[in-house]
Amino acid sequence: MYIAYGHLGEILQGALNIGLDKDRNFLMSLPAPCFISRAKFTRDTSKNIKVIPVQKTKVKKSINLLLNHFNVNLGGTLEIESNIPEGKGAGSSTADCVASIRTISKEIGTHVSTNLMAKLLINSEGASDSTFNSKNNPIFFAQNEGKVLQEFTEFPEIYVTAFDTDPLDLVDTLKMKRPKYTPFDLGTFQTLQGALRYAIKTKNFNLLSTVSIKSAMINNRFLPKKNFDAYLKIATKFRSGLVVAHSGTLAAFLINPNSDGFCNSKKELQKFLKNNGTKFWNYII
Amino acid sequence: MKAYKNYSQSIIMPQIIQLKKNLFCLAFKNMKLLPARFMITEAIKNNQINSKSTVIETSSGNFALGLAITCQEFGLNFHIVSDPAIDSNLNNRITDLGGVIKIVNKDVNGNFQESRLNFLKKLINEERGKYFWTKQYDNPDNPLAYYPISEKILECFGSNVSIVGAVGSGGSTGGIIKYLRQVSKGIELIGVDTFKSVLFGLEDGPRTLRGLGNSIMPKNLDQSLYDQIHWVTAKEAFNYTRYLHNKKGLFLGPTSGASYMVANWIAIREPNKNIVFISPDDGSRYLSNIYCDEWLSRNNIVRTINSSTPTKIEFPENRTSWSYCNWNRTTKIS
Repeated sequence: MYIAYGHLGEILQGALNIGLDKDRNFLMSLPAPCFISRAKFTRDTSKNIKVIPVQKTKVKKSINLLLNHFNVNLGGTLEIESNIPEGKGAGSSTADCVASIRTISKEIGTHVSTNLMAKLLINSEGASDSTFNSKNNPIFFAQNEGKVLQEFTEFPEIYVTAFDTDPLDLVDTLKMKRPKYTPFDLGTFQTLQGALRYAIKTKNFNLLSTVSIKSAMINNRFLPKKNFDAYLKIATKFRSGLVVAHSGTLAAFLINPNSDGFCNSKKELQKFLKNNGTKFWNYII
Repeated sequence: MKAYKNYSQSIIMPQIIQLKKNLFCLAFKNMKLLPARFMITEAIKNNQINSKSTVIETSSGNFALGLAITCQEFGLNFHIVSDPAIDSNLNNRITDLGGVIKIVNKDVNGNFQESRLNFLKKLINEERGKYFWTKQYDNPDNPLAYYPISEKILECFGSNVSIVGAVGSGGSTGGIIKYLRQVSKGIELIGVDTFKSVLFGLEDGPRTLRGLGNSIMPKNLDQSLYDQIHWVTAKEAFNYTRYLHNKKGLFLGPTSGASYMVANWIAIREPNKNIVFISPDDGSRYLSNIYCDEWLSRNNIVRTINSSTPTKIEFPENRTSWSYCNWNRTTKIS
């Protein structure tokens, strides 16, 4: 059995101007170890793989692509168990596919590189989330092309307080229109990439949270989140980062666990959510 | 190592050279290639240019060369309207890249700028739809082009940085700082201008130092982005350019010397901040003048470095040695 994580929105999401070609959409998702998809495989003598639950058609497609890639036949039952909410922008279908590909590739004794994983996901899902790096680290990923732009071996430690900005709302990822970013937005996204690389390399939490806030602000013009301004204000006040889902209603405050103000920031941000009747949960990555 | 797909790609990004613990040079071969390429690419994407278009501009310097390289790579026609003062090496290079150079005469006031513009407008009106005029001074794609530089600065230095750069069209310094301030509003911009340039409130007049300053106000200049403005003389700029070559081996153009002089002074005053200055071109266009002692003495430029600190002034005024003014991101002061 192998697992994969969902995510809680994006540390940075946007598009890049890549010359004469169409702008390149890209993102870096915030892994959510609290959201897990598990894929368990039981081999039998049949010639096909049966996926349970049967409605997980993307999973079926992704493992068929995997078997075709390595030219292998396999029969059995693949059971998916997941606590990742659907329609919330938490990457539930990507996590199902990643857990399944990891499980089946182990079963057939093959290694799936990050690039092959991206290709399989994009061909089975149309567009994929970026939570499939073998160490579950955040990556820069062009989600429409299935192109891994950059992987990182290390990442600053982050205390995450996650919440749902609108529990009753569901978003259909594939029906969403691509945001119409301005040329200045595109240049800003590339600039933010540079800042984020520096923040990751030097474990500069403040710079990382600044990038997340700027990205959330630009994207809120296209998929506005309920009470966004209030979240932004309190995040800035307590020096926390803010991530929002690019295709859903989930969001999170990023708090520096190694700062002097950690306990106070955590307390104040959680008090704010409590006072607003917003449920939240915490984890560390 | 990855192979570049064309010549532009191989030189479009600057090299970062560390001169002191906190002083860095962002050295371009020809910085203007970046906006030139961006403007043409955007114009193609927006259907302002097709394969039969002719790109036209009035520059007779690095921007013209950047456009010539870009148009050659994209297979586009390229014309520049220039004057008899165009440097013959540049003329040869642009012509060899396939560019057509049209030389105009002085207008009634003895000025070239006006007659170049008039001639260009006449051409455009004669054959409507044929020309695409890049308009580097006014085209908003000029400052927009500089995001790869802001990306590189942040990736290398984080946000504990100040930017020093010469101002001509306002494109590079303004473009770079606008993107940087999306990450940190506190990042300072120090502009380097020359006396008798109108950019920051001085009266226009003849200038020896080229490549920075301007006789007209470009629309791309946003004065409210600058924290401090320095005015330097040709003598200072040339001497510091030669100093960088003579003592440190850096082979750069004259505006780089001017920016280095300012950046070095700031780096001493702010030891805990990284000071990054922009070097827009290398020295190859200046071998027969700034790098030629005979030319310098013929032009009464004494080879000496004596002004190592600027004079602080409250309001812009035409002076004879390095001066600065705290501009404080305003638009006024005149």
